[in-house]
Amino acid sequence: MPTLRRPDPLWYKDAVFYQLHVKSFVDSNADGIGDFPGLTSKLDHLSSLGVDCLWLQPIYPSPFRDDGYDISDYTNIHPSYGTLDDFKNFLGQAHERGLRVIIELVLNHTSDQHAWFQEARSSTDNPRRDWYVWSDTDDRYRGVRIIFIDTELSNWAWDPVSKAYYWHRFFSHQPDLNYDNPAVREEIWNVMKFWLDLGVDGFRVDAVPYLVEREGTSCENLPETHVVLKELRARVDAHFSDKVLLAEANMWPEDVRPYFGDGDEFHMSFHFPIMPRMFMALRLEDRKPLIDIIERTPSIPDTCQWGLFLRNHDELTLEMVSDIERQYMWDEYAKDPRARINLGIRRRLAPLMDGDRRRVELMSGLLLSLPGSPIIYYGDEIGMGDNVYLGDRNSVRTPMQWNSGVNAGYSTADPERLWLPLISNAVYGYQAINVASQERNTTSLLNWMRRVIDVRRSTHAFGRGSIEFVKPDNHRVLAFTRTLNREVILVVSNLAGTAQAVELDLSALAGAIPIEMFGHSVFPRIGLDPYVMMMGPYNFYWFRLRWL
Amino acid sequence: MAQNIVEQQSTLSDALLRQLIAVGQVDILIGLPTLNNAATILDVVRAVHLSFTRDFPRLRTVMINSDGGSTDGTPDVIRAASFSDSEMVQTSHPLRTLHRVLAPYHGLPGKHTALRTIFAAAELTQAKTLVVIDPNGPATTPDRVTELVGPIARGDVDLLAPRYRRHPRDGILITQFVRPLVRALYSIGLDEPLGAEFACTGRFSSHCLEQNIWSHESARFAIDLWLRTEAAAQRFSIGQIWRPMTVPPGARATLRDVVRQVAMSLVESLRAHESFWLTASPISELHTWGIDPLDAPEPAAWDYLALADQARHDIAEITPLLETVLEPGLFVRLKEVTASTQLQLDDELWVRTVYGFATAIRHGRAAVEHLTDMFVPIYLWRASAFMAHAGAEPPGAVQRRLDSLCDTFQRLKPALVASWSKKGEV
Repeated sequence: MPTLRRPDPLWYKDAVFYQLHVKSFVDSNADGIGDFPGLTSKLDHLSSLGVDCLWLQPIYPSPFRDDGYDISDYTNIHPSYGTLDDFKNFLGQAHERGLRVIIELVLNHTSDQHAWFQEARSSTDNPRRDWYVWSDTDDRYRGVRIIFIDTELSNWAWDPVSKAYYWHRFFSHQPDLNYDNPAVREEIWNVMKFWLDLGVDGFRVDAVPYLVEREGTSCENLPETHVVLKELRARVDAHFSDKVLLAEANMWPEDVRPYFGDGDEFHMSFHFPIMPRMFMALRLEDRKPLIDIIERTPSIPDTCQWGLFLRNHDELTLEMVSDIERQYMWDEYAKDPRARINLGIRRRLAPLMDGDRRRVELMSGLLLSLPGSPIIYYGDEIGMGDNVYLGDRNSVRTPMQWNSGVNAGYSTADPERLWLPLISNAVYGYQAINVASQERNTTSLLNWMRRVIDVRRSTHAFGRGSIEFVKPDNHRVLAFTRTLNREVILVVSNLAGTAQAVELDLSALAGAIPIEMFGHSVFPRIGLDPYVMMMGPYNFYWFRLRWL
Repeated sequence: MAQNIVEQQSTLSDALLRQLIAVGQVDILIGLPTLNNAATILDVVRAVHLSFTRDFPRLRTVMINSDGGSTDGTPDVIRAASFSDSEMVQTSHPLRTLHRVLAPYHGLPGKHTALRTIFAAAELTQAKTLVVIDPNGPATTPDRVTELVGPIARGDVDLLAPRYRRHPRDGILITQFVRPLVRALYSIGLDEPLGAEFACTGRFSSHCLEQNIWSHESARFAIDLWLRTEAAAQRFSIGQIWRPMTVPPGARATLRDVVRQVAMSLVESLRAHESFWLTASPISELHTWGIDPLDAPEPAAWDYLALADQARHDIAEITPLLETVLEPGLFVRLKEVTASTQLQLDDELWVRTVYGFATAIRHGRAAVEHLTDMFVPIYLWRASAFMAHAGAEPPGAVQRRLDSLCDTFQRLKPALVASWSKKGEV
């Protein structure tokens, strides 16, 4: 098994993650779909970007009725992506470059094409019958909310083969596994062990709140679900080291908090509500939404970490905002109704920022400096655009733009054969926005991203430090410190599109000399009087404070 | 008033900080720690200036004078120094602004304060190469400044220490005590652990700045020694460079004080670095840059017999105290030798005595200050005895004595390791 050079049980606290879909990254065999040999050939790009860990979206065999989150075989690779040997080679090459890799693990449900479900439905006597949740009627667990309200009418679906209803919290082709059955728990552990034995560094665990059902409850976040998750974590810890389990639970932070347990459940969980508030604060030119949500965020065990992101493969979700906030976000960021989907916005970062490099940098700076481990969505490092005319959320899943040549260097297949068309408009098209051209330009967004990641990596304070807000009178300026032991980082961000003057009360830090972290320029010593700063539009500064 | 308090708690004055902000990042920082060097400093400043303009016209450079409280107008000389255009034309035209920063006395007096200020300035300016020049330098030329920069700028080593071509009868404190002890314990062939000039990487100066040493007495009196031993113990790469000997402008401390201060500093280093030297590997010889001057003048004669008389008298006075801190066998032999009419103290007994004092300090048999006070007359006796035997010998024979002494320090090191590590003694 390939090994990483620097074992560290808390590596995920400092890590910068990079999310990608294999099929959208590079196609090596001209079939129009990205694959592992292609991804392997681009590891140097990821290594040079400075990210620490790759998060791969589902790589398993799947009928692809939910973008791979409907798994039909947990211990293999989707044939379009290559073979298991291709995956092993990729993993080894990633590790050789110091890149860790986590993969998706969909615990809650399988595809209805999975052999387990096919066996389960074949007969009520089948040993796997009880691997899923069956009922003769559709009135059990009444009142449990339906998640996909646009497509599903019930959490129960009728199976004409076995003449019974089966439970599904997501699409009806995704029957829920029955975690009350010890055999299911054992088999899922075998799945995890299979991949961990191959060397993967952890899992992004999908849809964790829904594992167990109980009558009279919401069937979400139940104590029994936590028992299952703790059991899996304990088994991971008993057999492996330096692994990470990242929970997907789109909830308020206080509701996510139990998934960290006492440091004995998940290592990480996404902080969903902070994301829309970053966008909101920027458009409002007001720090209030961000401070409110961060101050509302409960503390978590020292060994745990939040996962932060600006954009991902789904819509910019607006579930964790009020109706007023959601409408504001739609009005400001999705004026074109086609940009809206479900309760969110299907756009990438650069178009959301109107292509304004200063705003992209400011948002990236916030992502990399707020408490948590940042997750960068593929293509955002070069400012890729989107295509809201594609169905579902494919607007943000278009092929990676490597160069200005044929198919943007993504594939040598006929353009019509690509699984999604390339972005080719005049502003964000691959002819203008691509890795190769940005490699050649020292001031490109790509090179700026490399730099900002490198600066973040120069201190553990961003990954592990506490946060204290400064709160100057000027509400357009967001200022906070990140403190870890003797190291103090001061972050000052102008959320406004106009120049701002701000007086910061830094008297608690009197005597410190601020050193700007990008250019190492020295600023005047902090004293007991208000510290005056002039900030250009969307400017932000990171200062390392030194007492010399 | 409140702002003054904030400033006083810092290594850097606000005035210096403002100058450093103006300087920004630099590639080469040359520090001049001064104390009453008005007579020689102008030549040094000129040499630095010409080195910058002639050899590093493209690089970002700064010269920082950190003065320890001169009363002879040294900072004024530096401030007023200007160099004619003719000199500039003869050398090269600098592309960049040349910065000359004066850091006035701020904090505790002493070279350690001056160095700390220079290190802090290097930290703030992100200096890649830091060079500290001896301000007593009539022999300082632009070439000699430039050659200090090279090995550091090229990344060959982290610390470049001076090496002097000494006559073997010169520098007895170095040759009889400091050099062989550092060589044996730190496993490093460093000729001049006390040398004033050096160059280092920003990485090394940054490391030193973070250490909790700057308020210690040992740092105050022998910061150069601590820098060398710290570099060795923390496994920074070290090299040497031939430099001309410099002569301090008049004695600043008595011989007794110097011995006491060096001994105290060595003890502090041994304590701080015990995890390193207790298990240190075989001695590694260091690469030396520069040109060996070859000639080493005979040192001035001195009255070692008078010194021996004083030492014998002092030792007799402290005999009861010595008995309480040294091992009985060692004490008896030492008492016999120093009471003898013959001026002698052989290598083995001398090394065992040095190690015996180190052990006594390690196990707290008396206060460090008292123990180093007791050590001083014994060192003076040894120095006198060395001169009594080697004074008339040809240099080659004296050098063999020095080499033999180094071997003895090395051979007896296991005994020190054993006694240092012995448990149960408070």
